[in-house]
Amino acid sequence: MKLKELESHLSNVENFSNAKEYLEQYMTTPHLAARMIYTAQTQYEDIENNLLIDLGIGTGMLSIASCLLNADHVFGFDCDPDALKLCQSNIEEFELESNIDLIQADLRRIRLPIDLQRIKADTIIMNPPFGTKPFSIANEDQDEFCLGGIDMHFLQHARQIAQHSIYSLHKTSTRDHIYKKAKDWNMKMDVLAVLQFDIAKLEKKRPNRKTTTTANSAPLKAIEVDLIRFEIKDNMDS
Amino acid sequence: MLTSNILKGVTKGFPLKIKAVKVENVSVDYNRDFVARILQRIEYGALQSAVKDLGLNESLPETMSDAMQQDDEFLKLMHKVLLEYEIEEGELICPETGRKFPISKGIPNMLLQETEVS
Repeated sequence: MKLKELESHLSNVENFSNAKEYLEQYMTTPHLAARMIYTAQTQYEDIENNLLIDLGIGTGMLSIASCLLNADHVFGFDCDPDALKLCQSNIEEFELESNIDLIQADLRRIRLPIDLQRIKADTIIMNPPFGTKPFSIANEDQDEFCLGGIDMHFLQHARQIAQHSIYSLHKTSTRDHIYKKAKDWNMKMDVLAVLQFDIAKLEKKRPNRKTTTTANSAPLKAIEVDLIRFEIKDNMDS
Repeated sequence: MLTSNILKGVTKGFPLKIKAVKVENVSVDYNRDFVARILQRIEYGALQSAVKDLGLNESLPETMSDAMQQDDEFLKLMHKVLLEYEIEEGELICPETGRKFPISKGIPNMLLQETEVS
């Protein structure tokens, strides 16, 4: 399948109708998803015939893109029942019910309900929250939840369950920090592309958007985001 | 069914027992290569337990040998068991703690309560 064809298929993925700001829900655009997954396949062969896990699956955009490029199977995780419902309906629209399995779990937690000894996905795909919004988890146990750097927390999960590679999006402004972490976690890191992410515009499209009072959200127009590929260095158990 | 092979309970708790209220039979195109690949990753014992939990009328061989992983009959059986039984409603039960994780519309809910953090 050609890139343009992939993107065109993905334009049929239904977007959030009522995105939850505290979960930083916004759809990975067809344009972005197509490029991300297409690159993963054509340059690295990380999609076709691979077992994938999608962390924070949201609308299902990345998973659907992967299945269109012949991924073996995807396990998709999300904490939000509304997102899972939307995702399920998108999956049905593309007739991929037997290719994508959904699991409701909270990825902000330290532990994942996956048996790490038993399952290793070849490739992890994700568009994690960037941690620009505060989490509404005031009453939760602080040790159990990750309060800041949520994208790094997702990345750490991904590192544990990835056999081979991870594709993720992170703010360009945090690149140095991610390089350091990647090194600590024994991963090779390549920035494949820098993308303009118009979160403000995406948020404007939300019908019920409340006006934010947080100081740093006011002038936010477009942010630069890195598409990063991480490669796991130590494959001791494969 | 495939999903039941990767999930676990709060700490250890694997495999989760399955209590199915509604199981759907779906038809999925047989893809021999896919089944052969996925078999290398699954825990055969856990799959046997899952088949037993569901009371499926499928007789799985006691053990899975390398030769069987090439055998079309066996692969087709695995295809059927792993992909064609969808648990729509029911629950997964942690064998250690008895904690129940509900399955609703085919999606297992693994969210934990505050009190359960370890």
